[in-house]
Amino acid sequence: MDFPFFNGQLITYGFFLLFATVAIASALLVVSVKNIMHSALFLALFLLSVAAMFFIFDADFLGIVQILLYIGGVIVLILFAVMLTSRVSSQLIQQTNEQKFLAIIVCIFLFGMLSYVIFTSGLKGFERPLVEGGITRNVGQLLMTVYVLPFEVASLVLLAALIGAMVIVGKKDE
Amino acid sequence: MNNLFFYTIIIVSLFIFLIGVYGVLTRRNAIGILMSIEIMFNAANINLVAFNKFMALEESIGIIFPIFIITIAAAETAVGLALILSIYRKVKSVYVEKMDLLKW
Repeated sequence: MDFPFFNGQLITYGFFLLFATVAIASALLVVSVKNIMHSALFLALFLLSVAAMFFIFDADFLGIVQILLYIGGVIVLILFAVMLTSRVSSQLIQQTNEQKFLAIIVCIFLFGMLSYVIFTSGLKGFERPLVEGGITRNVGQLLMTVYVLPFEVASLVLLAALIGAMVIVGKKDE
Repeated sequence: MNNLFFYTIIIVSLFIFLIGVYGVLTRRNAIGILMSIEIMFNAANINLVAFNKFMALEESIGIIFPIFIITIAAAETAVGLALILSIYRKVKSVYVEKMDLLKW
């Protein structure tokens, strides 16, 4: 039996559209909600739907890294910062500045320009076959051989950022 | 079908990126600006992973590059939030128009 309108890729496309809708809606809420705490929680929803998109595009390792690092690390950091500074961010304070309409015009202009570039680029999308032995294995091998120098530099950057953050925030002033 | 999928992904990630740009331009709260920057990073990551799936590039390069982007984004968030907390102690505010200590 052959179902021409019920193949696997169409289902994948449908799921992608679902998660894309969730991602766009939650991103819009992140930039427009008044309470900064709710904004951080909508950011968590946005990051989760992006992780789901990574799983759809066969990048399962990246999806797991996204969940562990972003939702487990960055969101917790942001929530800590929000709670440590929340005395001044009450509901009544205006959260956007007066350049709102100018920003919307800039975004529409950029959207028109970039989508023109995308649609006239002539890129052809085709389905790549899956990597033999799983993509995670391949990524691990490449990280330890070809990309070993950027990998070590990234670890140095993380160490420097860790020490820098502690020095900046732990300083006793006056 | 592949072409439609590919272009939908690029347009969706472009839209998410522009939402991030809008957030950076309009938020008054410095933490809100950092969150908008995270949205922009994620739009770039979606694009890279889509290119890895739908185009003939080097093997797995579209998975490895987002790993470095996520690492740098985590470091950037840690340092940025430390700076915001440090400024908050001095100025008693997280709103960017109050952070004018370097203005004459």
